[in-house]
Amino acid sequence: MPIVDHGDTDDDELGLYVAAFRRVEQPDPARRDASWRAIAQQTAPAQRRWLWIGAAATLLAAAWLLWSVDVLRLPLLDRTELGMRGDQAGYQPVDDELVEHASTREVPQPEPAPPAAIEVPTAVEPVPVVVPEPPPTPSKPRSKAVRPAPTLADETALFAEIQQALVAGQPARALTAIARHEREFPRGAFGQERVVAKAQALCAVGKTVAARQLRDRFVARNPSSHLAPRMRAVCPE
Amino acid sequence: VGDVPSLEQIYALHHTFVWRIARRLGVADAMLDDVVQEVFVVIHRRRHELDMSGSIPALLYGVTRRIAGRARDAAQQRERRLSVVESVSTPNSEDDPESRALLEERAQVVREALDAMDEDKRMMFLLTQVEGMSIPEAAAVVDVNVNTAYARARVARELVGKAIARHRARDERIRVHAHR
Repeated sequence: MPIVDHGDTDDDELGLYVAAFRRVEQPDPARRDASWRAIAQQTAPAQRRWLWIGAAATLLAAAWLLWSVDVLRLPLLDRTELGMRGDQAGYQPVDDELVEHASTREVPQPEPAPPAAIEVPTAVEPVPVVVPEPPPTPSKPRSKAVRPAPTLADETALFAEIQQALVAGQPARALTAIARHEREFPRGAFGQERVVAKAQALCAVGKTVAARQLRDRFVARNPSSHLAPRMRAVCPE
Repeated sequence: VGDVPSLEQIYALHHTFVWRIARRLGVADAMLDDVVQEVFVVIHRRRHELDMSGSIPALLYGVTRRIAGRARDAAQQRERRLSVVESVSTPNSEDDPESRALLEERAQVVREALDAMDEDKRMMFLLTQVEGMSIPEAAAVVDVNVNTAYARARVARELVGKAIARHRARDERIRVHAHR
């Protein structure tokens, strides 16, 4: 490091004062040990907790799978018992999405067919009502039980993902992660960093106007931010 | 995983660094331990996603800055006065009282000089002069270019140097006065 002038003080004297500062500014060893014990407590159960959460999620998923299979089978039996035609019975066991469409699109379009078939919709009608409803029921409590409120750690991880995408030259992926960050952490700790990352990503995908608007607004609002120099370098004209 | 240090190793090596940074970022003593703990817990929980093969101090600095910022905001919301100059230090008990007093006095001069300067310069002084990092290393930690880091370090040294000179002059006046 170059020798610099710092007032009327020479390097040795500055060194003496800094050494004193370093010596005095020490954490209390007892508090340091207590801190470590607290950290060890916080980190060890965390692993076990995740194991429990994982096991609970697996059980719920298995239960839901078994349950949904039963739900799909029952209507099939009902229909065959009702004497439905083979092609209509085969139409029933579809996934939720298709059933949803079926309830909105397929049912109001009864095929002009022989008079016997016209009666069929009345027999089919309960099926779209019965089948689509169950899946959301188990999934709702599961998401509540398993997913804790997002923490700073989650935010840090998501922001790391944004940075990795930018560094890897994948601005589109970065923008997707940024959108997620905006949704999940609207007032997050990385708010300013997110704006800078967004401007960089927008510029990288060719949306220079939007990137420059973001840049100019940020610099105008935060001229003394430590991120301002980096933001000024975004998308130069 | 081989080269990645364990949390315990990181804690042992960098606890004082995190503690000093958090303190100089204005975290009140009452919250200091919580902030320090949270930093290491975050590092532990995200160790698989964070680049642990790079500079650990840089990683710690970034996390500490954010958590300290949050703690400071929370404290401000509760309208608590920050006491960044309060002393929670434990000077070496082996020092004789006179030496201890001298150490405290000198440390206080540096402390006051640091508290009087802006955060950018304060952090640069802390990283380079107190933590012993090179300027390029400190520049990487705070994520600024090397020229900016040099400029900040130079101004910070000047400010501390002036504070020391003032302190020395005051001491001299007291000594002269006492001789009379």
